[in-house]
Amino acid sequence: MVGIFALVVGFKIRSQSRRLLRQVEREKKRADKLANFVIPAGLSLVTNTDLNTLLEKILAEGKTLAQADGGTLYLVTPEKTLRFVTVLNDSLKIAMGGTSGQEVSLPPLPLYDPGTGEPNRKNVAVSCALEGRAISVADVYAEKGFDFSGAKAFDQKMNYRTLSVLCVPLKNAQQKVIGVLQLINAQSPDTGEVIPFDDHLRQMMELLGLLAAAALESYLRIKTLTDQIAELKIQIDEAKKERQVAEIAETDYFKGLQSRAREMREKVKKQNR
Amino acid sequence: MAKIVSIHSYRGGTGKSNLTANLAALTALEGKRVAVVDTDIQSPGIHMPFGLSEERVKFALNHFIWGECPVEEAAYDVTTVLGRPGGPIYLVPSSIKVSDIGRILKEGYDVRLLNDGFQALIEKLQLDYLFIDTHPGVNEETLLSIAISDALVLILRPDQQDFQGTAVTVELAKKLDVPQMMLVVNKALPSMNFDELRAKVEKIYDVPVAAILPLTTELVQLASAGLISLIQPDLEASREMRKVSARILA
Repeated sequence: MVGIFALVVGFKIRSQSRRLLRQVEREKKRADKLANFVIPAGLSLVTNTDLNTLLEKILAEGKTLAQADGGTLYLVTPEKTLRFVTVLNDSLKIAMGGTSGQEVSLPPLPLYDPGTGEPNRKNVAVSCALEGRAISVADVYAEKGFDFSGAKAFDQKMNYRTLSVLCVPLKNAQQKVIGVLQLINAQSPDTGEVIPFDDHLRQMMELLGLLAAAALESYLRIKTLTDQIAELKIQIDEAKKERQVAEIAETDYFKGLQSRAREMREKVKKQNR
Repeated sequence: MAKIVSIHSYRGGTGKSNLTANLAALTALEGKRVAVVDTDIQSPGIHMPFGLSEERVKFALNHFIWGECPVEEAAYDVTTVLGRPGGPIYLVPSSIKVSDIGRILKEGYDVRLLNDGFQALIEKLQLDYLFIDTHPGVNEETLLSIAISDALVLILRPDQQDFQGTAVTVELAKKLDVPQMMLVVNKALPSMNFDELRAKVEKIYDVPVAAILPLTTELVQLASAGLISLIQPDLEASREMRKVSARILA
């Protein structure tokens, strides 16, 4: 089908044909990626038994799928901040959080301005968390809407160039955002040059975000349950117990049983002597 | 002298019937003459692991209670479940017919009849061990079973409600001077620290923990369809059950 389509177009408009063919090939690749990568990646997340591995894997799978150079996974905290949990960057060889054993030293991002209480929409990851939608920025240095001073300071310090950014929310079944997956610098599969994250990639990452959120939620649910049990808080309400015991032990029936049982055991003892 | 062993739990769903069936089988494997009475008349279930079919059951414990048959006529030889040489196992089931269960619930019954039944059974079948699968919770019938028992096995899950309810049963059993008491913790998550669990439970109740049975897929898959200690003797649950039977046999 793809072949015939390409041929027909090729006969008609030779100059456009190559471009179209490339586009069709890209679309097919993406469809393949969805079936062969996004879904298996989501499934592989479900089987994780260790939280750090799971968090790192969410970021790593996203990075690989988008062919991004770097990325950050944030979790929404009860204090209404975005906490950095894992940071990866290939060209700078950075691995923090996750299984790296290296703590992420970056301070959490407040979802709301601590002074005014207003939503902190200047930060792209925070905006993504607040609005629950994916946000793609083609060039952070040309961007006017968001404040990328943090990224720019990082660039200067690390001799890096942050260009494209994609943030996708990790939304649970109740549509609550529990985290944000942020990817940096998509790379062209052909040339390796840094390019913007395109629309299809955004869609795929949104799907991965849903799968990651589901995996994370199920992990946390099981963890809470096992922690509660592992803590082994065995607390007996003594007053309640005494009351219940007394209610039964003071009945005529129980007293009768008690004396009969005593007689019976005495008899057995005598027999055994 | 036959030894009477009651297996009791404060709440339902603890795996009481399954444990009872396994303990009876393990005891019979030692060449002992064993009978099991299902006194959980309101929710009978122990016929399942023994593979006793409804068609075979002409008389059940209900009919003995209603004076319709002597107790030994409600006892069925289920020794074949062992699949190897051992002492005989008899099962006195409760009727699984809805109308029979309904009648018991409606009319009630004189629990003293149970004791007569137990004694007759021990005598007629020349038993070494009589296992009583009790009804969950504390009522006249379970208290009677506990009172006449030489050994009481309390089975519980590691959760708050079971811990609390078991505390009540332990107190009552102590007041009834049951000579031997032990706890079996069932459905413990494998991620738990079993040594710590054992130590804490023993400290709270001042009763030994004879076994901790982990919640495993094998047990869930088998459900009540067979006796795990015979089918998969190498499982941790099976090893733990043998520890319980060793205490009972001691």
